[in-house]
This record gives sequence, C-alpha cells and structure tokens, in this order.
Amino acid sequence: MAVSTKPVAILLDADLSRTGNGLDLEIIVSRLSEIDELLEIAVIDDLERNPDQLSYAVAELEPERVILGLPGLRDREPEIQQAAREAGIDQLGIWPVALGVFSCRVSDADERTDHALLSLIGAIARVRNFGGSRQRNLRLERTTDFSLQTLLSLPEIVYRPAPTVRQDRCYAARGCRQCVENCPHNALGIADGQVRLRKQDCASCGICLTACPHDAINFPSAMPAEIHSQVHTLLDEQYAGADARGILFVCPNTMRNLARRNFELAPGWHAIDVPCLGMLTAQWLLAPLRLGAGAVGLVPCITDCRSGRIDLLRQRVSYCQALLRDGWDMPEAVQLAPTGEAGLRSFLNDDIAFAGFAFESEPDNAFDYRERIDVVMDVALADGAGTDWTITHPASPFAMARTTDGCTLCGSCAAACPTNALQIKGDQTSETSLTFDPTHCVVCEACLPACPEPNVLSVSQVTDFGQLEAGRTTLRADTIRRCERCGSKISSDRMMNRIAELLGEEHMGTMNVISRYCTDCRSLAS
Amino acid sequence: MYRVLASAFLFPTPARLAELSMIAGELLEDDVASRFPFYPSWSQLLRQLAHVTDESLAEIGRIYGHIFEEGVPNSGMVLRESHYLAIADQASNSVETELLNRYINAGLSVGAGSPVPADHISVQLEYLSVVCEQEAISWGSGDVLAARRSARVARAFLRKHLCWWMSRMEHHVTRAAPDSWYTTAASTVNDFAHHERDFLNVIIECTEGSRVIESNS
Repeated sequence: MAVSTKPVAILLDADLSRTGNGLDLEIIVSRLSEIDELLEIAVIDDLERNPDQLSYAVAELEPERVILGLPGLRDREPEIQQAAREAGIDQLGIWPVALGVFSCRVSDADERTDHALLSLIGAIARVRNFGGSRQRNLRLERTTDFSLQTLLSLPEIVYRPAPTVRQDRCYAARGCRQCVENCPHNALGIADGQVRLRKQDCASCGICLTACPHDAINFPSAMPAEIHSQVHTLLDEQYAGADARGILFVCPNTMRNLARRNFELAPGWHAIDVPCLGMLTAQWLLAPLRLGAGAVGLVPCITDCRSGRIDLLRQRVSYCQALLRDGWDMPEAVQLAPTGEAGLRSFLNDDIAFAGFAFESEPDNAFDYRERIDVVMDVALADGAGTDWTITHPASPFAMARTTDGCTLCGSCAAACPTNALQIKGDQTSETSLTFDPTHCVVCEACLPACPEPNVLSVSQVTDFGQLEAGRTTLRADTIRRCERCGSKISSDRMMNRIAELLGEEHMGTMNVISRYCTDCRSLAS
Repeated sequence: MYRVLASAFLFPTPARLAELSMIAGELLEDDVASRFPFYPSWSQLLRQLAHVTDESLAEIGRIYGHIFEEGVPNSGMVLRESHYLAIADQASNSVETELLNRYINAGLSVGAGSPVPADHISVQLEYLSVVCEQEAISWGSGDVLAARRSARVARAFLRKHLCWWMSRMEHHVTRAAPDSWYTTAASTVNDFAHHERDFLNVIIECTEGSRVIESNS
C-alpha cells in the first residue's frame, strides 16, 4: 500500500494531562516529532470545549488533515466541522481520537503514554488514507428539530458521510441487489437500472460498503484502505512492540457512551471506530488477526442502535468463533463484549490472552472485499491445518451450490447470478456444463427462484476450505444436442429429455422436430 | 450566492468583474456560509474574485474563451444544458421551451431577444435566486404553504436540471483548465447545487403536515 505524505496536524487538548490518570503530553509531543517529521503538533487549552480555537491553529499550521486528541467526545461536531471548513480543510478529514476514554484510563503511566501515542499514530495512518469528500458524499443531519424560527436563522446541522455508487463497477444492471437488500434503513433503491440513495433515509452506517461484492461503493472515512492502514499501524511492531494487541471495534455512538463513563482499560486494546458494527463482516472481524492481532473485540451499541443488526453481528461473531475453534482452538480471539456495565468493565480490563499468529507476508489491504477468501483461509489455516474441513453456519460468508439429477443445464441460475459464481460453459464444444465457484458466491440466493425445476438447486451456507481452494468446479455436465441442419446448439440432452417428459407420448412428432433442429431451422425442416 | 455565481459565468467584461470583485469583498466579511460544506470552494472563489487586478482581467477573458468557446461548434455551448443532453443522447430540443415556461410561471419576464439562452447556467442560477427569494419572503411572512411550494419548485428544478448537468460541466472545465478560476467556480456551483437539493429535502420533510413546529409554540 502506498504511503501518503499528506501534512497532518495533531492538536492535543491540554486537559488530557488532567483527565483520568493523566497523560504526559510533553513526552507524546516529543516522540511524535521524532517519528514523523511531517507532523505539526500543538497542545491547546480547552480545545474540546472551545472548538473555535481549531480554525486559528489550523490556519497557522496549514495541514491537509487534522487529528484531535480529546479527553472525551462532547457533541461538538457541528462546530468542529465548521472550524474545519473555515480553515479550508475537508470536514471529514478532521479526526477526533478519544484519548480520555481509552489511553487516560490505563493505570500504568508508561503504558498510558505508549497507548496514547500508538492511538495517535494509528489515526495518522488512517487520515492519510482518507481520500476526501464532496457534497455527494455528505448528508445533512439535524441536531435539533426545525422550527420556523430556526429555518430563518439557519438550524444547526452536522454532515455525515453518505455512500456513492461507482456506476462503472456496479452490477445492478445484472441483477445485483446486495447493497439494496442489506441496507437496514431502506435508503437504497433501484431506478433506471442504477442504485440510487435517498439521503434522508441514510444513517451513514456503512453496511452497503461491506455488502458490495464489486467494490462499487465509496464511503469516505471508513473505506477499507483507511481501516487497514490504521489497524496495520496499531499492530506494527515498530510502534506497538511485541506485546499482544487487541483491536476493539466501536461505533461513534458507543464511543460517546463510553466517554461518559469511567472505564479502566487493559493497555493491549486499541479502538477502531467504524460507522456501525453492523458493517463488520466475517472478513473484517478476522482481518486484524490476519494482520497480527491477538484479539478482536466488539463493543455493541448499548442503546439507540438505529441499524438493528445486533443479531446478525452475533451470528457473524459466532461464525468466526466456530472457525477459530475448529482451526486453532482459540474461539475467544473474536468476542462481542457484554452490554451490562460489570461485564463490559471486566471485558475491557482483561489482558489479551493470545499473542496472535505471525504470517510471512501481509495482504495489501486485508479489509478489501477482494481479499476476503485469503483473509478467512489464512486465519483458519494459520496453524498449518489442511483444507479438508468445513464449517456449516448460518452466517458463513461462503456457500456451496448443489444440483440434483433433475438439473437440465438450462442456465437460468447462471443468468440470475450477479457475481458469475454460477456459469454455463461449453457453447463451442460437444459438452456443456454448469460450474460453480464458491469464491465468487455472495450467498445472495438470487439463483434459487430463477431455477424452473422444483427442488433441483440448493445453496447451503457452508465454508468448505477444500472447495474454496479448488475454486471453480463442475456441478453438472452433459452432451450438447446440435441442429442437424446448421450445427448450432439446441440444448443439453438432459433438457431434451425433460421436454420430452413434459410433452408426453402424444407429442412425439413435435419432440422429434425440437430435438433435431434449432429454432431457425425448424420451419425450413418442416 | 446564486446571483454571484450566475454573474461569474457571463462573459468577463471589466465592468462585470469589478462589480463582482466589490461584492466578493463584502461577502468575505460574512461567515454564514461557513456552516455549509461548500464553504471552502466558495470562500476560495470569493478571495480570487476580491483580488482581481487589471493584469488578471485579460487572463480571465482568455481562459473563458479557451474553456467555453474553443473546440465547440456553437460558441458558449459548454455553458448550456442542451450541450450535455446532446452528449448523453437525450432529447435537447425541448429543454429551452420547458425552461421558458418555468421562468414565466415564476413571474419572470423573458425577452425574446435575450442574448443568453434559457438553458445557460447563468439563467438557471438567476431563476433559482428568484425562487429562493420568494421562499425566503414566504417564510418571513409565515406563509408556510407558499414557502413549501417554492422549496418544492427549487428542489424539482435542481434535481431535473442543474444537479444533473453541473457535474458534467465541472468535469469539462476541470479538464480544460485545471487550476483556473473557472474550475473553482464550477466546483462551487456543483457542490452548492447538490447541497441545496439535500437541504431542501430536509426542509420540505421537516415542514410537512404536523411536523413543522411553530416558532411561538
């Protein structure tokens, strides 16, 4: 992955030295300056309470991206965004890091400073990979109700990232509906064969981003490259040392909730904020392990989760645990934190039990959809296990399609498949075949209703490592019946037999013509 | 804003630029726009306008000719919606009639001999400024129904016209003169139009039926 050298400013709230157990800001500033000469660092009094100071500081330092090290996460987003705009920088390119809720609560002074430092270095990596936003990628969110009075005086608005679709990559015209069907807010729809977003209904959850199998969604501030660079940096021994590290996925809502309560934290945990935990697929849950993490924790919304994906998230965690249990007997390497106060405190306090696996090479982007097979297989087979095992699980991101003898190779399932997992091959040969590639299947099941034969095609949610390694295999093959007159393909023998069966003996004459001539030649033959 | 942007895409005569420069200086003092995401490009545009010098006048005129008049069969076509409709293989002949009808319905007098066609960016922006003004007057007088009607008219216009083709025009301008003043202007109009459409969506949704909260309640 290319390393960006965008100038970044780090602004630290001076209150951090007094929050929780307190941070030594002098050490943090001095170490950051040693690590990265392109950083501009400033410690500012009352930064969190008074974001106006931000625009002055930024105007002086002239960065492209800004990281705010704050004690908490007060609801100051509109002011922070406004300050960013006034300073001429992208309003989503200003990244608050809640050092107060995490770093300041680490009890050991050295570990506390190391923790804060690493969190900031991770954030630098993330913002340097932020590609910028435009109005199309923003949606308005009211922070208060509108009244006639506020309409005249302009209401307070905060801008959130919104997805846009790269039409040149989107498969909607081929029937793909992954983003539309996965959106929990019904904000996506299809019009004129293209995916359209109704911004008013969007909740910026990012679920469409990870649901898209074609890398067609752009969602600034949570793109795979941004998350990868942050996680990768947090686990980099150069910065993190050799101690076990855990990656804690948290949504902004929960981050704010945690910031209001005092938690003691095991120093190994590092928080990655993602728009909504509902966007975390099995690949995203396993990717930190692939990058060397010893544990992955998820702190779900305690209240007010608008996406309502907690059950699905539980299933995905359960799938990862099944994979980790069967693979290397370490199911607790991916864990959903308890929502109760005592349970959550204990969860965040526990040391990371497992040091993680070491891999010889690293993926360019472990969160990129195209890496999902490698990430899951690498983690599952990390202890040297063979591929001759399977996991049957309702949240398996992989599936196996099967057909019974009743399959006529008509190709309806292949035509309905938006990812080419099912394909009909062999137009130019004497044999035709229906093939299936589990590495392409997204378990959308669009093939099932397309099959005209009852109980012939089935899709089971199973992760079959042998099949994933094998790639495309043939489900059914048959001889092609060709036109006696022009030689073009009529259909498979199986299809002919099925038509004969349906027509019955009284239509043998018709069958005789259909089975010997193609559509074009039938009239000439008769 | 609509009027400044409309004026920015008319031929840059010294008198017009001098007037724009004066207005830009005044608008720079007002930070209301900093509450919106198009502010960075808007303020950059104003700063550039405020510092127009005699020397830069000729350069602006040259760039105007290069971007909007060279390599296109009819001079100025790049600034018109029908140009992009034709590129997209959509019927472009009825757009002017439809727009004239809209303008007349909004109470604008449309002269048959106007040198600027109805689908020109400046005319479309000028029309939106009128609708926006009508909306503001209605909100100010408490006529919620009329205000909402104006908001719907503006939103429909933005959806059907400006938001559709401004992205294309911005692309053209950026390619033709990447670092020019006109790139900033096109980018500002594009961001502003899309924001305005989103903002009107929220306003219309919030003020529908019982959802509007009277200021004295």
